Amino acid sequence: MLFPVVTGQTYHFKVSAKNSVGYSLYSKEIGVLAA
Amino acid sequence: MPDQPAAPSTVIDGLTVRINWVAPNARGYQITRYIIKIRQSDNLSFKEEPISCDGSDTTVMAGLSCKVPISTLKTPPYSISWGLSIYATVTAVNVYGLSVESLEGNGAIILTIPDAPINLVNVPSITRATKIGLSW
Repeated sequence: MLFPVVTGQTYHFKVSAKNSVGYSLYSKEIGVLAA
Repeated sequence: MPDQPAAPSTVIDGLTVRINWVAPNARGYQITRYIIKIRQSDNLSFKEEPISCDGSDTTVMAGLSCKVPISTLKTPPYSISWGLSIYATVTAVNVYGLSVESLEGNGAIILTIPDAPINLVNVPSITRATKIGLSW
């Protein structure tokens, strides 16, 4: 997956998985500094 | 005694597994109850579930089916893992005794949502001023 990244910004991410039944709970959220 | 019942079927019904069977020929004397057994996680042993699948219950007997909560099948003595099929057998009983137990029948596969992903981390070897790398 690609999206614009601005230098010096911190981006927060969390991940969920999906199967034929539905979506999982989200993973722990992390923040990543684009630097 | 009644004829041997055909193998039952199992199907997911909300948060339960429904076990369905067909009444065999009772050989002249009314069937008084059924014995329904569910296969355990060792793939060999079968056990009755008297709480949710009581084969002497009038509603179960009239409907020729019963519903077992998936939560029950996940715990001992069944302990069936997600993604596995649910097998059951049926025996019919009348005043003359027990029929031959049916062959085991199945159909329902118990499924649930995935676990939450773990170990979501930044990948420093990929992350730059214009790009972010992640793994989990």
